[in-house]
Amino acid sequence: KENARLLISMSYPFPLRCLKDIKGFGLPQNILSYSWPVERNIKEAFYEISMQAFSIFSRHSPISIWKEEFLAQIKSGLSEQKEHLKRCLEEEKKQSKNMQVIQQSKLALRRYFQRIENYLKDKKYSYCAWKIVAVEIKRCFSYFLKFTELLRENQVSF
Amino acid sequence: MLASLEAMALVLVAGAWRGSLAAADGKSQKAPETVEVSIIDDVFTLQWNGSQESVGNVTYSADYATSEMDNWIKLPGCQHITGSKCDFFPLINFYEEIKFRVRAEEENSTSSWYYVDPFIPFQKARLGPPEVRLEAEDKAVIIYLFRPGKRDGTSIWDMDALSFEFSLVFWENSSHGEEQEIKTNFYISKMYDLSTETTYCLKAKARLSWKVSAYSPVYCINTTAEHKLLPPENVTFGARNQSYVLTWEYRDVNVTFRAQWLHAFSKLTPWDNSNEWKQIPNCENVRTTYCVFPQSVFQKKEYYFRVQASDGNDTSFWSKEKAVQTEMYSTILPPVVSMKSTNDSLHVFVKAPKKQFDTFTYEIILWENASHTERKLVSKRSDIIIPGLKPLTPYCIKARVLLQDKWNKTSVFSAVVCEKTKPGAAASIPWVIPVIVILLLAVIAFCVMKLLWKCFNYVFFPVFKPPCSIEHFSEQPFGNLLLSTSEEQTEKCFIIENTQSVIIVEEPEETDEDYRKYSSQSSQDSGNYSNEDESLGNQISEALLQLKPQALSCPGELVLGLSSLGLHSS
Repeated sequence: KENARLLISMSYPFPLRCLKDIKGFGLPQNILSYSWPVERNIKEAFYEISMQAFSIFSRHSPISIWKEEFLAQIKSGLSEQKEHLKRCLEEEKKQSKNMQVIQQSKLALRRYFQRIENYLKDKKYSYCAWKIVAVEIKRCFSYFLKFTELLRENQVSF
Repeated sequence: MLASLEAMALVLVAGAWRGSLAAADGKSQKAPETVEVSIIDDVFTLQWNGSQESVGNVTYSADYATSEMDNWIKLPGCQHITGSKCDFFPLINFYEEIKFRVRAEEENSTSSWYYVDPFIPFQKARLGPPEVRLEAEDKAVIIYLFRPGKRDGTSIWDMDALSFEFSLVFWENSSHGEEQEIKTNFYISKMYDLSTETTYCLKAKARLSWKVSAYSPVYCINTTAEHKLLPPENVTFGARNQSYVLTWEYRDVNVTFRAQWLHAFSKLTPWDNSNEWKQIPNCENVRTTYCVFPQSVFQKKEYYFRVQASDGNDTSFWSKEKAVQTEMYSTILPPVVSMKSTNDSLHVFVKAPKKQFDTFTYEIILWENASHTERKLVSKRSDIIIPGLKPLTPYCIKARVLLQDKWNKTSVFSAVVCEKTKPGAAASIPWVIPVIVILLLAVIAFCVMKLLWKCFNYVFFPVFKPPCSIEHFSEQPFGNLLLSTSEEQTEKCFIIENTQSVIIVEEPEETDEDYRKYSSQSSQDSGNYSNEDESLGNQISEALLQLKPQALSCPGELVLGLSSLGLHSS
């Protein structure tokens, strides 16, 4: 949630002149309805999202757009979350051994982040492209946070 | 459908093959068979079984299409291939399904297509071994790992850059059997405490989820001769007041030190992080074996620290790196407490000095100034009302911040604040008023009733009543009557016997009620009474036995009986 907060502050203010560059990245909204256990699926999804978001920000380090300190904060947050989830998942993996299939959710998220990455590349990592990507990643986090909350409320094996 | 297409193609091709190769009808070539795609890192290989007998200038070409595309596209690197395989690298989204088709060609004639079942490249791809580069110090070896695959930003493993895990096997070349196995997800690691001028070797394999590579070739390196200037040792991290303190050990005194820090996340990325180390402020060219710097320099995250010694001409190697979660050491400032008393409750305000953390609670300790019994309250709110206190009593409180982190850290307690509660009278006013009103109403109602009663009596039972004795009687509560056995009561009894009808009318309800009281008491006679009351109990039972026939007739007789009980008791 802390990360979501940072991402929100990252995407504001959104410059009007960037509106024309907005693109739909096709956030995979139904990935959690695949046949995997919901809780594990959410953890996997969050792990993947944290990792890819961290990866995007650290691969290109857009210091011309955000302050270095701020970027460091968000990168720290994302990497810590990623490491934490990784430990969680590894612990669970020890208990269940049938993890030989790449989950559909992971592939769907990879496709999504690949589209983001390609978009940045196409736009030559422009200011607007970064702003749009920041909004998109924030949207992705909010979506899954919301989803998790709804699941908790409905107590679907969570 | 694809399968049937393939089958058809095969049949067609087989027919054509048996027929005439020379026929230039576009279907005269034998289509390639058992086409397979293999992917190792970023090398895609398309392999097929061509015609058994190589005839003329038969070449093969392949097309590909992904689920994002509508058309087949010629596969670069796989056009007009004379052999039975080709390598290629498509610039595609590796997480989308891809499909291939291959056909044989010769001059103008082409075979039908052989269709490869669609697949997701990432799922099919296998992992090659990582690359290794070693760098030697006198007593340490730095291991630089490079993930398999291309490094130009188009690799199939690009999105996995942060999920690689490496298994290293490290050993001293001369000794046998003493292998060290290390698992790491850092691209740069360092082996410490080695011998000088010794050969060390290493092999590594990469792992990505369940994809595991083969071991890399063995890499070896010699450590250098001992460096004159030793690196500082035993780097430790701590906190003092509102500063952090980095300390280390060093034997020689005529040296200066400098200390650097690195974001822990920098270690996760596959790039060389050697230029991402930053100087700690106030920690350059220091002569002390410690550095003090404000906590505000660092966020509450994980960092690495290292120290280096220098004697002017020469600098040492870097010390061992110290990983630190600054959050563990950071000082949490105590909250500021104030309170306001409102009669029997206290309104407490606690406030953390600044926004230090996201989730925390306040622990508030409350005690009466005079006593030492403490009450502990835990609250998320910053204003708390503590009700139910004694009025006009001095109470004291102190509070601290409790964090819900891994270490369950707390701040020190705030200064103690004392306050006397207000007088209770003010508080009692609200409920005293209705009580008084009710009492007044009761009194009024009683008077009115009495007045009415008087009228009633006056109308129906004029004067012949001897009121004084009745009043005496009714003044005497029955509980007392049962226990007290004075002579005077005995006398009263006789009087009552004579005027029973009056009594019946006068206080019918009261007698009835008292009878109930009495009978309940009498029922206890069966054994619940104490020894002291034993004789009395027996008397009561006797009296009851005598009374029973009379009691059935009317309440007046009952009163008589009760009175006679008084007589008996004496």
